[in-house]
Amino acid sequence: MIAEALSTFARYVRLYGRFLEFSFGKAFEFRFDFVMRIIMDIVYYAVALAFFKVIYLHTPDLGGWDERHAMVFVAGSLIVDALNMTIFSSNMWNLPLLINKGELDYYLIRPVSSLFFMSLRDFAASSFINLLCALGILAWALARLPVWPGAGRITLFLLCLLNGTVIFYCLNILANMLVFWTQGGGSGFSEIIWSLSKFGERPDTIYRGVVRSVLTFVLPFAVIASFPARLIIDRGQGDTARLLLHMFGISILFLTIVILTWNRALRSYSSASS
Amino acid sequence: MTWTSEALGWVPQVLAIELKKALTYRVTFWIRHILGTLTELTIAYFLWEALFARAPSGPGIKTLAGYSFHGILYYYLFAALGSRVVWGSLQGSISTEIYDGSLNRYLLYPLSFSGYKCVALFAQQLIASSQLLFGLAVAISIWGIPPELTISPGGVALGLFTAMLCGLTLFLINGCLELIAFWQDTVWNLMAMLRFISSLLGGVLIPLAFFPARARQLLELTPFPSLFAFPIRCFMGQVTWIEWLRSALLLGIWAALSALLFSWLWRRGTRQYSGVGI
Repeated sequence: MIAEALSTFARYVRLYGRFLEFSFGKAFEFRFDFVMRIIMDIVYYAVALAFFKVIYLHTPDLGGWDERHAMVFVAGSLIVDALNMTIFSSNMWNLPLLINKGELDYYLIRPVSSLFFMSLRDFAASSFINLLCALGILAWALARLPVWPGAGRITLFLLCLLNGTVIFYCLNILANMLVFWTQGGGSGFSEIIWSLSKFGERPDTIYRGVVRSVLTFVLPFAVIASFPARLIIDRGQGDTARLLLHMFGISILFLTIVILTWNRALRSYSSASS
Repeated sequence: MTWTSEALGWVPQVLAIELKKALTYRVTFWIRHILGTLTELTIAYFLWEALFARAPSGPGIKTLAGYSFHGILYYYLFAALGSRVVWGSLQGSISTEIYDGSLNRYLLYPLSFSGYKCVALFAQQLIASSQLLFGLAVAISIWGIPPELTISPGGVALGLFTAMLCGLTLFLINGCLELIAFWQDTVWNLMAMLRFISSLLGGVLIPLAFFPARARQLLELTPFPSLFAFPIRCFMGQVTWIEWLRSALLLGIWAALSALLFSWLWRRGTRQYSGVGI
């Protein structure tokens, strides 16, 4: 059984390697798009950093974080954005169209998980370059901290950002799956998630009450980048285990919901191909 | 037929078509509008509550860069709703029509492409204006009007008129980027960049009053303050007639330059455009 599981895992890794090969080849064919995506993301990063720079001209701290701490948080959210844009976003944008046009068959008839195929087929090579830029911003932000967090905590932080990317993917695909039942609305549900994701672009420490509860449990945008940043900024302060349990618990829960909902959604799907 | 009766003929029809198109998916349309506005206002509420908590106390109402807490909330209300009047929903339509060949119909119709688009933009601005008025009514019923602000029917009307003019200018600027679609496979990156830059430099993300003085001076050389911060200040009754005329003149200059570039790109692009089908 273990051998079978390992064999299946290796098969999916080889398949993902093929996806990467195909995606890189495709990316270099459209050189203008490739270059423009890199510039676009750099502009986005500059705007995100400039926003907090302006805010901190008028306050010494925001929700208990000073400017140096906030830059670590911003770098973390940019890394999550870069990971999402690289691995998932192209696939998520196409999903509503494929459902509405009945063209999901191509993914359903393959002898692999349709969810895996649908979610990971396109890899945005240009956004991968921007991931390197975001990591550079993180290195700069970490270097400015008064106390170096240590390699172990930084590694944990990066793992938690990967986890945050998975959470964002789950929220995005759950929103897009609504198209299976509404059969309309197109990219509208994706836009709703992008709109709500702005909550995650501010430190979670500013939110309180019902809004905070919603953002940490129901629509866990605050968990995506802000919670991982607390591992570096607050250095856990005894809360590390609780934070990790919360972050990884949320991602496991939402991944389970995604898998169950996807299987349910396919029963409502009707093909348009022959 | 005279020019006037020709114009009167197609304008109301195009307006009706565009209004119907915009309201086809009504549920998604209203969810996006209400959710988007609530999201931005909720974030602004908590962000500025945290900032004002750290602001130094003094006699009278606490202010930051001349804004009280309620003043800032109204700023973000007008930024969220007013920017929708300015943007409309046309971004991406020109490049999509070039790529899928549906530009053909505009080349065959006996009316101008830019004229059609202006009417379509106006239709979307009418809808966005009604959303703004609705949102403003809700906000006033909850928060009232802070004494330091001058929000009046005349100011709101001026703000809407100004936002529509800004929308026309932005359509031309954005249109110039979209017309690059005649020569390149994809231009959505350029439009996304315009959105990011204009949201920061136009004062949508944060009021320009919070920028350093030198940065504000440099920003005056760009169209962004005129496109977004200018109508927001009109809504809030912060613009004198002299300031309005000055900003409108700047806007006019940017509109004229963009129109010239748009026209040149259109002529060059349509010469080498080929579309399949109608």
